[in-house]
Amino acid sequence: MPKNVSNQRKSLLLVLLLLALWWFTPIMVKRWTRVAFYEFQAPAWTALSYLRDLQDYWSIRNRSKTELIEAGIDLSRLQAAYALNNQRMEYLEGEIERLEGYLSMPSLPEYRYEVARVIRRDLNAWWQQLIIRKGVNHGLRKGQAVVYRGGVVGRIVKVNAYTATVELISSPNFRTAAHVEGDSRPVEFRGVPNQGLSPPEGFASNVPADVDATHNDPVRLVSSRLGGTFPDGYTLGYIYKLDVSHNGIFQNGSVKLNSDLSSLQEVSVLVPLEPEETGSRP
Amino acid sequence: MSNNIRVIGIFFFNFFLLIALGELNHNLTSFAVYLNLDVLFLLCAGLYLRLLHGVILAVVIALTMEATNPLPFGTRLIAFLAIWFIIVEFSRRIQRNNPSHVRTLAVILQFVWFLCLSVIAGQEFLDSGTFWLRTGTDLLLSCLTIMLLANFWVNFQCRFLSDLGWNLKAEPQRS
Repeated sequence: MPKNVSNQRKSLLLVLLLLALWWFTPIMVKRWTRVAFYEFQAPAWTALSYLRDLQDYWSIRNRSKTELIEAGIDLSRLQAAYALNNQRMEYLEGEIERLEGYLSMPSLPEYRYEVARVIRRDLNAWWQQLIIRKGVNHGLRKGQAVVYRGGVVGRIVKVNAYTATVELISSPNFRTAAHVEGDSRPVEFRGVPNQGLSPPEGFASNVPADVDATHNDPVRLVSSRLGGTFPDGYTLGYIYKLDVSHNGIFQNGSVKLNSDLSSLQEVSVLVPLEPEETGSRP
Repeated sequence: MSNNIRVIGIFFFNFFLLIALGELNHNLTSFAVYLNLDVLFLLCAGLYLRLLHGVILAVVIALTMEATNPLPFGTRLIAFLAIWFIIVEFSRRIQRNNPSHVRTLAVILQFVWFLCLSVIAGQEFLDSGTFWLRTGTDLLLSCLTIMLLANFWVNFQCRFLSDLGWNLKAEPQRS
């Protein structure tokens, strides 16, 4: 019996000893431990994402030549359309620069797109984050905006050597400034807990009282540079219904986010250009 | 081969499970479903391994899992040590060779830990019905999965160690 008691005490003592050890460990050591454990497993996650890419590659290799030719034709048409858009954009950029000079306004920040593959999606009721396959070594920094073809993805919350963690706009802890398309007045957007088996949602508050949203004519909520992270005009989501807030001055409403947000495979990080880079841009 | 080296094998099996679970959750995101099987990682460490081996394994697994999530560093470590301690205590009270005993213990611990995690990580949303609906869905699926996998995973690790010359099942149960 005494032996049993001693065994029971042993496990409790072990736990208490480790907890005490953890309690007295300096913050620096804890931080280093976290980074070390992260970097230890990062190659496994990265290798898995390369395997996924390889799988995609072989599935594409199985396509017939006719399909590939048709895809090539579609791509060349798209390229032609984008070339025309580029010409138009260059003209408009020149016009903006001229007006900025004329009105002595500071110029808007410019960005380059750093494309990154998604290694891992970790979306649950508590947090919603992605790990992407680019990090400090590719010029990524904490706080940078992440976008995709459907609009805003989120912002970088942690950067490691070869990977970075992105907090999604659907994450319950996400907050940013936004505005309704065509209206410069600021709106607050925040992520909310999402239901299982349904597309992601957000929540917009402080929407001006004169904005109308109906199921047939939804309002597009876009990013605003007022938040300091995102440039103007990237889609956050659509509002289908607005209710008057408690104070009666503003409106609140649920924001339907793009369902692609929970199955992203590739995203772009907006890396701000330095002034000299902006000048030398073709 | 010493027992210390054999336990490293167990750690790598659990690491493989962690990666596989991450990949599964990666693919489940399109259905807005998430599986949390934390207790599965601690069952063998608590029921069969020696105290020192078990506690070290629990700490290393906790730190590995903790590195990728946004909870304050140390939350999972404390929780895993508590879960490991409870499993060790229960290993004196249940028949560890009885599948239903192991399964029941795993499901109850997973249920409690999942609820605790929800309270810790979702402090701001405890009054939100949507939050609890999502938590409920994930909790149900996680408990169901752990019920199906608990015995298989424990036996698999024991068999692995047995093949390496360390028959844990033949060792007397803690009393």
